[in-house]
Amino acid sequence: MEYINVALGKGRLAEKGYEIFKKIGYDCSDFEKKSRKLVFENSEKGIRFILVKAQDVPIYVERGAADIGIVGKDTIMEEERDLYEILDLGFGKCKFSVAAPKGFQPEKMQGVLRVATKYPRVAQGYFMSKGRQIDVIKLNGSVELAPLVGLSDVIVDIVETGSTLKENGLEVIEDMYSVSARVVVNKVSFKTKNTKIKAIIEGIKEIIKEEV
Amino acid sequence: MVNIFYKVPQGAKDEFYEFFQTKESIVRNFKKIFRSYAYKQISTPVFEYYDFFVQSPGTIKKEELFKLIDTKGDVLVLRPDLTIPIARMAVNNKKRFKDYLKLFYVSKVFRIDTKDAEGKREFTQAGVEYFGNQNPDADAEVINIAIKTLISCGIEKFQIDIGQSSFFKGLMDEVNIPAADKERLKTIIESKNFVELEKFLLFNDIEDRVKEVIIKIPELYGNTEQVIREAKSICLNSEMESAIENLEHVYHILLDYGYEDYISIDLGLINHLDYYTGVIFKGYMSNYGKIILSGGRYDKLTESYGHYIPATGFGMDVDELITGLKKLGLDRSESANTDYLLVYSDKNRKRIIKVSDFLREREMVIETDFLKGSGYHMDYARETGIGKVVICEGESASIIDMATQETKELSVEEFEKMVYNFEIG
Repeated sequence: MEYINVALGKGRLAEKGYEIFKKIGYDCSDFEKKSRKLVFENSEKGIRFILVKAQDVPIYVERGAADIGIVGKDTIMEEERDLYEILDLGFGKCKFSVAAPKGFQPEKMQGVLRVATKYPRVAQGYFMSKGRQIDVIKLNGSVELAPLVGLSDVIVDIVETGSTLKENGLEVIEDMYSVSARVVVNKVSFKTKNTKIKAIIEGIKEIIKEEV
Repeated sequence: MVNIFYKVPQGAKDEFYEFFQTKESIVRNFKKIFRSYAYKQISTPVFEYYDFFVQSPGTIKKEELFKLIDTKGDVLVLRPDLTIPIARMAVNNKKRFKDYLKLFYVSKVFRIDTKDAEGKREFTQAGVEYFGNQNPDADAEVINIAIKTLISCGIEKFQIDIGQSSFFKGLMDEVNIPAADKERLKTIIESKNFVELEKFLLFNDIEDRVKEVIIKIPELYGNTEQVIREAKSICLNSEMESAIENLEHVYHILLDYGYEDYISIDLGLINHLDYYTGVIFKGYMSNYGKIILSGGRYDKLTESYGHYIPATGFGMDVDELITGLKKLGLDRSESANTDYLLVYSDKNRKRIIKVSDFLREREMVIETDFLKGSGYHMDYARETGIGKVVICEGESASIIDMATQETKELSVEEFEKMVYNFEIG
């Protein structure tokens, strides 16, 4: 049987993503047992879920190791992979924002703005479109720390409630883009496994409608 | 500093013989197919002027080019594409052909994928270019050749998606937004990004009747007859209409070739190289998520080199194809194993060398070696998969069949006779 491989980014998106598949009939009892496994199959339904790091979902899908992926728009923007972005799932909503220590006035700053972020490509693209030169400092976590210890002037990060920022004495100075979870599909699978994938997408669309 | 004695630069790789044999046998089949349609093989320079590629329409991205500077200060590039230089070649040789010019190539191209820093940068491409024929029959012939090459690799399930670039261009004529926004719209449609498409249409000033059509484009794929019918019903101008008629025409010719199972239509198919002017297509195999071939009609490209010659063609990414074949377990490597290992000693060397040449002329693969002890040669034969070993010591010879371990004792003279009487094969 031809399997449909679904890449889920580890964490909350994976849970919610799986829930949606379950609702449209692609359940997988293995997945629901808490385990350290990374591959879960339901051979009857011909579906296989693979758990990968969120940032890796786009490349799994681009290279065809997964046919479908569920991933945040933030990751899609940063990775810029060649794939079909089919649906907005409507959950995992947050914003790409520029944040800085309270009272920071970017327009008064002279010289190159130092930006710490986990998303160097997004940050670079955004400031370039505004004609502002920046010095990107790529970090892998705890980005909020950077301006506090003088590593950067501002940060670019995804912000959900803003409480982490607040606790660290930062505030949003600019909202960049809205972000939410998306369904992405490999360009070739979309064609070669079209019947099954189309059915899945139509199913997911129905679910989204109901929830809205 | 890395140790340069065992590193190759990023994106390059050595191709050891197992891989290369697979590649060779695939390429050999391709060449046979191309030649059977009267295409002739050509080659273009590995390096060219930077300006040539940058100023040619279609535009490969500047940052993807490998740049070199020659001693005069001219900036050169390693060729990133073959269609562009071959189109120039066609124009330069315009006087030498009256009607059609059918060419094929198997060459390396070089590109730096800026998004994939760890990726390959050297690619083997094989393809055809058909100049001088603007009829749909030429488009169909080229697509048909592409299909044949895939079949020759033993791939049973593959798909060729066909689109028409003028359909989208015609549609864009109805849209009055800045060029940069058009580019963005193109990217959105190409990636079937329904989410962004809706937003884009909401925030851009486009007439409603045009919006209605744009929103349908990404869905125009799949069932061929139905897609064509739908597409016909939404045309906004004559360019779009004639694009669909042309696509339908090509599709009908392909039906006569008997390849309808492999063909599907996708009007959202947009090629990044915008030298394409008509029918465009992409090919992929099932269960392998990468595009392995692409092509289309590019009537205007030659015009920029001074002479209008209609043209169509396709190129196959041979490396990607092999990776795909491997994944599907279809990679057949023709192993050129040795038929005979002839071991000689001082006394019979001259006679054995003569025998070996005689056998090689009969297209056998023959190795020779100086006698070092039969055990040594037997081990070597076993490890490298040699068919038969003949050990000639002085006047006596023994023929050992490695598969059955049968041994035949005879004299060197008798062995010679067997060879020259064609009793050995």
